[in-house]
Amino acid sequence: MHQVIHLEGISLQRKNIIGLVELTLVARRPRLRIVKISCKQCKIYKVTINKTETEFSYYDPAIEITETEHPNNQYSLDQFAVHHRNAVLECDPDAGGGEIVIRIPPELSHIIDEGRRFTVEMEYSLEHPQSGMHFFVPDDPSGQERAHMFTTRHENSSRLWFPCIDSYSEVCTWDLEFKVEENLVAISCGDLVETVQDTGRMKTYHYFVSTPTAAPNIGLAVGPFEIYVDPNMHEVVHFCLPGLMNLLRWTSRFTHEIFEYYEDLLATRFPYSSFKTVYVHEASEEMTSYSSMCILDTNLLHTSAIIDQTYITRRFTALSLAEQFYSCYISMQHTSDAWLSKGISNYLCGLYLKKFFGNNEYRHWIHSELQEVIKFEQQYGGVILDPSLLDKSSTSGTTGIGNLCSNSNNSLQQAPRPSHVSAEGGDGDFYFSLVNPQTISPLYLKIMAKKAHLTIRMLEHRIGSQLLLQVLNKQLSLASIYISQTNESGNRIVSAQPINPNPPGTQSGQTAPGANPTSPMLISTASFTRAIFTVTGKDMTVFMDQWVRQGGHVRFHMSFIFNRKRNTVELELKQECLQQLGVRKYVGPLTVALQELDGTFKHVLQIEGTQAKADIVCHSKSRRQKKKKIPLCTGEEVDMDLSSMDADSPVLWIRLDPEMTLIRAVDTRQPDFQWQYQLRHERDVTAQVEAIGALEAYPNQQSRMALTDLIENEQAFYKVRCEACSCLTKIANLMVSSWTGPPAMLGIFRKLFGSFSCPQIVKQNDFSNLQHYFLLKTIPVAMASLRNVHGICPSEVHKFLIDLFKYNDNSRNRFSDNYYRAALVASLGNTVTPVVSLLQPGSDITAESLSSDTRIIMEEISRCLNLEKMLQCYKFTVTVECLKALRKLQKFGHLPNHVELFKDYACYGQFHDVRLSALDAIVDYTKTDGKLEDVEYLLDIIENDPNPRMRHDLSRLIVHCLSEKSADRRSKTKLPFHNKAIALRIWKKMNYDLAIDARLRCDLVDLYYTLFGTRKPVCLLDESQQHLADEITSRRKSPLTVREDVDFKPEVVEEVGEAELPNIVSAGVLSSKHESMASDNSAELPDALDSSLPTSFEPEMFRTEKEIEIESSEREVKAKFRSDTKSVESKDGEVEAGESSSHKKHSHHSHHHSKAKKKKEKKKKHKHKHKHKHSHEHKKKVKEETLSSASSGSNSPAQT
Amino acid sequence: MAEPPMNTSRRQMIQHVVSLFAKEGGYEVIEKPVLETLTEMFQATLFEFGRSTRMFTELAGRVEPTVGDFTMALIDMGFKVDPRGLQTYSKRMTRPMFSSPQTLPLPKVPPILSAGKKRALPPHIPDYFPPLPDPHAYIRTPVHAQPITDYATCREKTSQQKRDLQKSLCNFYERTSSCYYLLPENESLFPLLLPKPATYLNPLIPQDQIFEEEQILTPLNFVKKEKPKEHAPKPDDDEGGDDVLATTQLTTTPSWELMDNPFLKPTVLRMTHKDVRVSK
Repeated sequence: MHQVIHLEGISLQRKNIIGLVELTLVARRPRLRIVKISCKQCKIYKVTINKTETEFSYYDPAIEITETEHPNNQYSLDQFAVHHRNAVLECDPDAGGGEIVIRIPPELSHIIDEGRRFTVEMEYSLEHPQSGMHFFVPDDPSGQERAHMFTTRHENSSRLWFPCIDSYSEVCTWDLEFKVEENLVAISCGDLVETVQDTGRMKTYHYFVSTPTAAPNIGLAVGPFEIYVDPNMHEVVHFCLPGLMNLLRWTSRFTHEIFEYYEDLLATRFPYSSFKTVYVHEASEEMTSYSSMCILDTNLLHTSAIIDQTYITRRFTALSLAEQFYSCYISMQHTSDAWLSKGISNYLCGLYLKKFFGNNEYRHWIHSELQEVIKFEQQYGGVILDPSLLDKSSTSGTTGIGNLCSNSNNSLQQAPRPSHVSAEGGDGDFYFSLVNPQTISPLYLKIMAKKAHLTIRMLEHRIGSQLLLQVLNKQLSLASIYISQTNESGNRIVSAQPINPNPPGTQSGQTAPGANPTSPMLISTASFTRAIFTVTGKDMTVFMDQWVRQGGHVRFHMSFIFNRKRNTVELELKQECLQQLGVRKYVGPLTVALQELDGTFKHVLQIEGTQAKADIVCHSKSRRQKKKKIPLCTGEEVDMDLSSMDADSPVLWIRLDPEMTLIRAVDTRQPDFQWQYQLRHERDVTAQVEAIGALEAYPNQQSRMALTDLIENEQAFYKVRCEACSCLTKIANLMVSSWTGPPAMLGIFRKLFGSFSCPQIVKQNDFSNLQHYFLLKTIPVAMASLRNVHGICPSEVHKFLIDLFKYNDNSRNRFSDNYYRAALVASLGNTVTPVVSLLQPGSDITAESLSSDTRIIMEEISRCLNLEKMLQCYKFTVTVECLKALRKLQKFGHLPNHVELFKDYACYGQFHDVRLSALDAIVDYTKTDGKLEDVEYLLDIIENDPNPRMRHDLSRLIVHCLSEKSADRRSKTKLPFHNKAIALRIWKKMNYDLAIDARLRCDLVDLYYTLFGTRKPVCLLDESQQHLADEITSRRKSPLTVREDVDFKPEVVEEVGEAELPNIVSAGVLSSKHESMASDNSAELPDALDSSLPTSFEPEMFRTEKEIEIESSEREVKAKFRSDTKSVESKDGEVEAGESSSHKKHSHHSHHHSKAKKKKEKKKKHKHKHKHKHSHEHKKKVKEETLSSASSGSNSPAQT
Repeated sequence: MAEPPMNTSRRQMIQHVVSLFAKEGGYEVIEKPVLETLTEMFQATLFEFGRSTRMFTELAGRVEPTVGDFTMALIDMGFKVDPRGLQTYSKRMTRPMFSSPQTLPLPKVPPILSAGKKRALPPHIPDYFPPLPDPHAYIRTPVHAQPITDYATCREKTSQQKRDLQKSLCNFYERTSSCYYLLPENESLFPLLLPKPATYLNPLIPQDQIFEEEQILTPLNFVKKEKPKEHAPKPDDDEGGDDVLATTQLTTTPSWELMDNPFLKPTVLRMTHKDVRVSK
C-alpha cells in the first residue's frame, strides 16, 4: 500500500545506516497469522504492528545452500542448482515469501479479519554492507570529502538495504526521509518535498513517490554531489562528484533531446515529474535505473575531446530513459516477465539510436546482437525469455511455484519436492535454475536482454512498428489514467493487487502471468499478448509460444543450383543439427531475396520440415553483352562489371531473411564471385558483413580486390570498412606466397592518411572526419597481423608502425588521440610472433638475447607506459594496451615470464580498466604457467576486493578466459585451477558466504561449472573413484562420441586420453539419485552436455602432437599451423559446436584441413605410437614442475 | 671540502713553504696528513697575523699598516719580538730558497671587432656622451640563411624534438622514482615506473593534452529571465518616482535567477518549520 523509509543516520565513515521502515499492508485473505517480509543483511531491532510490539523470526535459507553431508553427490553443481533454486524460491517475494516472519499477535487479528489496513514498523540497522549498497570511502584523509554511498541492484535486491516486499509486482507509494550531514546531498526516487535543517549540522531530505513503485525500483545516493539542473528541462537534475562539472555539462547536453524523442515516439508524457541522474564512483554496473532516478558510473562522463566514449555513454543514457518508461513506471508481473521490460526498453533505445546514429549503425548493432545471442546459445543452450510456463510443466502440476510456497508456510525448512533442474530447460539445459533471476548466471541475463530486444523487434516486423508503438502507448496511458483516478479518489492506496504476504494455497493460479489483468502498472507476457490483440486484432499467442516460451534459435543451411533450361534457381534449405545446443526447428515463412540482373526479388517460402526445396523462377535472362544498369533493392541503379559471373545465370547473389526477422543463423553456400558481388553492391550493411565473413574462405585475387575497393569506398559504412580490413589481413596471410605488391593496406593507408608532399609520413591528426578516424585506428591493427612466408611480421610493416609512433602529432586536433595511440600500441602487440628460440627452454632471457625488433617495440611501449604515469590520458587507454602487449611479449617468449609486473597494476586503487587488463594478463599467465599461489591470488581478489564490480568482472574474466580459449598446451585438468583446495574454496564461498551477493554467487557458479562441470570435481574424488570413472568412461565411449568422428575418437582416449578423462568421469558418478530425480529425459541430456566437454580438448591434444610432427617434417602442416594460432582456436570451437562450423569465420577452410590432418595423423599414430607416448610423458614432466606439490600430488594418479 | 681553485694554488704555495721548512728542520719524509695539518696551522697563523695587523692599523686610523702595527700584532699573538734575531734568521746561510711562483701571462684582451662604420653623435646628443657603438648593435641587419621549408624535415624535426622531450622527462622520473625492472640483471634497459594509485578524477581528466574548454557563458543553475514589462512599473510605483530610469533599465537588462528546482531551494529550518505548522 504505502511504505515509509526513514533513514535516521547515514554514516559514510562508519559505513552504516540506521533506519526505520513502516509498511502499510492489507491482508488479502482473512485469518492471516504471519506476515513475511523480505530482508537480508540488515539487523532488525524491533517490529511493531499497529504500535504493538510483536515477535518475529529471521530465516534465510540462501545462507547455506547445501548444508547436509551427502556422501556421494556433494560438490556437484547439479545438486547445488537444486538447492539453490529451492532456497531462493522459499523466500521469493513474488510468491509471498520472505526472510522475516512476523507473527501477528492475536489481539490484532480482528483487524486482519476485517480486511483493514495495518502498519508494520521495523527498526533496523545495516553495517558494512557487502552488496545492495556500496560505500566509497577513500582511505587517505584528503579523499574523505569525496566519500559517498549509493545503492546497487542485481535484479530484485532492495531487501539488502531495507525490509520490504521485494517484488516487482507489488507497487505502492513511498515516503522517503534521509538524514545526512550538512554538506551532503541525498538523492532518491520521487519528488523532493523539502529539505529540513536539523540541529547539529544534519539535514533531512524528504521525498515522496506519488507514482506506485515497486520496492526494487527504490534507490538512494548520498554524497557531496555537485548539482547541475538541466538548462533545457528544469525538472531534470544531474549530479556528479566534485571536480567533474565540466564533463557533466558536456555529457548531459543531449538528455533533453532523448526525452523529447521518447515523448514524441510514445505520444505520452514522461511518467515522472522529475528525473535525476547521479554519477558515482565504483558503480556496480554502468547504469542502474530506479524510478525517476538513475545511478550511472562516473566513468561514463567524458569531455568534448573524446570520441569513442560518446557512443557508449549515449547508449546508456538513452537506455536509462527508456527504462524509466518500461521497467520503472510499467513494472512486471513476475520475474519471468522481465524479458518484456528489458526487451521494450532496449527496443525504444534502439529506435533512438537509429535516429541518432543512423540506420546503418542500428542494423549493424542488431546484427552483432544476433550473432552474440547465437554464439551464446550454441555454447550453453537456448535462452528462454519467459520460463514461467516451462517451470510449471516440468514440475508437472502437482507442485507449482505457488504450492511450493504455500507448503513452505507451514514448514519452512524443507518441503520435499521433486527437483527438475537438469530437465528444466527442455532445450536449454543449464546448470542453474531459470526460475528466479537470483539464481541465473549474469551472462545469461545479459544475453537474455539482447534476445528480448531481438524478439520485440521481430514483433515489430510482424505487426508493424506503428501498431507496436500504439500498443505501448495504450499501456502507458492506461497506467496514467489509473494513477490519476486513484489519486483523485483521495486514496493513496494504488495497488490494485492487495498485498498478500501469505498466499493461500490456491494462489498458484494468481502468480501465473496475466492472471491479474487489473493492474495496468504491471506487464506480463499474457497481458501484453492481449494488448496486442486488442490493438491490432492479431493473435500473437503462437509467436509467444514459439519465441518467448521456448529457447533456442533456428539455423538454416542454404545451397542452390541454377537450372539453365528452366531458368530457375533450385534452392535447398536444410535445418540441420537440431540436436545441437541452442538450435531448434522452425516452421513458418522465410524470406529469400534474390538479386538478379533485373533487380531484387523477394520470395516468401513456407518452411515446413527440416528439409525444404523450392524452385524459384528467375525474372531475368542472363545476358552478356548488353550494358545496362542494374537496379538494387534500394531502388538505385548501378553499373557492374559482370565479367566474373557465371555466364548462364542471371543470379548475382542470394540472401536468406535479409531483414533479420528471425533469430537465426544462416549458412549460405554460394560461389565466391557471388559473395564478391554482394560485398561490392549490396547496400545493406549486414549483407556486407556476412559477405566479408564468407570471403575469408576464398583467398584469391578477386576477393582481395573486392575488399580493397570496399575499404577505399567513402560511401561504405565505416564499421564494414573496418571489418574488411581484418578480413583482408586474413586473406593476405593465406595468399602469402602469391601476394604481389607492398603489404596489404599500406597503399590505402598512405592514400588516405599520408601527408600531401610525402605520403610516407602520416598527416597531422585531424579527427573531424569520424569515418577516417575509425579507419585510422583499425588499419594499423589489421596490418600488424600480417605475416610473411616465415610466419613473422614483415619488416616493412614494422617500420611503418614505428613511423606512425614517431610522426604522431596531435597538436592541431580538436579531439584527443588517446584511443588512436592505444590502437598503435595494440598493433605493436599484434606484430609479436612466437620467438624462434635458440636458447634452451628454461634458460633466462637476458638483455643480450633480446632481438632488435623486440628492443624497438619495448622502447616504444616503455616510453608510452612511463609517460602515462606523468601525463595520463583519458581512462588510461594506452596503459591498458601496453599491459596487453607486454603480456603478449612475455607469452611468446620475448621477455622473462614474470607476473609481478601485472600485480602492481592489479591492486586496488588503480583505475578499473587498468586493473582488468592487468588481471587479464595474470589469468592468462596462470592458465599457462601458473602455480597455486597465482590462483589463490585471483581468488583473494574475487573474495575480498573492496570494489564489488571488480569481484564480478574478475570472475567473468576467468570464466571467459577458460571457456573461450581452452586450446592451450595444457589440458583443462592440468590447469592450476584444477586443484582440490581451489575447488573446495570456491565451493565454500558460493555455498556459505555469498547469501548477500547473488550476482557474485552466480558468477562463482559459472566459474565452478567452467572448471569442473556439473558433477563432482575430479580432484575431489579419491583414487578408487577415479579409476572407476576411467573404466566407466572407456565403456561409455561410443555414446559420448556419437557426434564426433566416431572411429577416431576412441584412439585418442586410449593413447593420450588419460589427461582428459576427468571430464568424462562425470558419467560415472552419475548417481542413482540424480537419475531418479530426472524422470523423463535427463538421462540423455547430461551426455549431450558432457560430450561437448571432453571433445573440446581433442584439438589441443593434437596440437602437442602436431608440434612434434612439425619438427619432424610435414611442410604444409607447418605453414598451416603457423599461419595463425587462431585457426586452431576456431577449429576448437568447431568441434565443440559439433559438426556445424558454418558461419564461423574460418569455417570451411580450416575445417577441411583439420579433418584431413586428423586422418593423416590417425594413420601415423599407429606407427609412432610409442614415440608419442614417450614425448607426451616428457611434456608432462615439464609441466609438473610448474605445478605446486599439492596439485601434482592430487593429479598424479590420473596422469601416470 | 672542495675549495675554490684560487685557494688551491695558494695552498699549494704554502704547502711548498711548509715542506721546505720541514726539510730545513731535518726531516726527510713527511706524511701527507701531517703536511696537511702543518699547512693548515701555518695558514691560520698567517691569517691571524694579517687580521690583527689590519686591526691595529685601523685602530690607529690608518689605511696602510706600518712595521709598528705588525709588531703589535706579533706581540698580541704572544710572540716575543726580537728584531735582531729576525734579521739574522732571515739572512742565515741555510735559508732555503724557492723560485718565485710563475704567474700566468695575462690573457690578451682581444681588440673589439668593429663592424661597419661608427657613426658620429647626432647633433642633439652633447659631445660628452660616449661615442655610439657599432651600428650592428642597434641597427637591424638581414640574415641570409635559408629557413627549412621542406615538409618532411619539419615533421622529422618536430617529432624528434617532442620525443627527446618525452624521453628526458621519462629518464628523469626513472631515475628519481621506483621502477620495475623487466630484466633484473640489466636495470638500465626498459625500467618501468611503478603505477600510482588513481583517484576517480585521474582517468576522467586527462593530462596528456589540454583542450580549450568552452567558457561557461551562463552561470550554473541560473536562468536568464527578463522581467515582463507589465510588472516592471509596479515596484516602480511602490518605491516612488525617483527610480524611473533605474527600473526601466532593469526591465531591459536580464537578471539571473536561480532555477526553479527543489534541490536548489534553501533548507528549511526545523524550528521555523514547526512554527509554521503550529500557526496553520
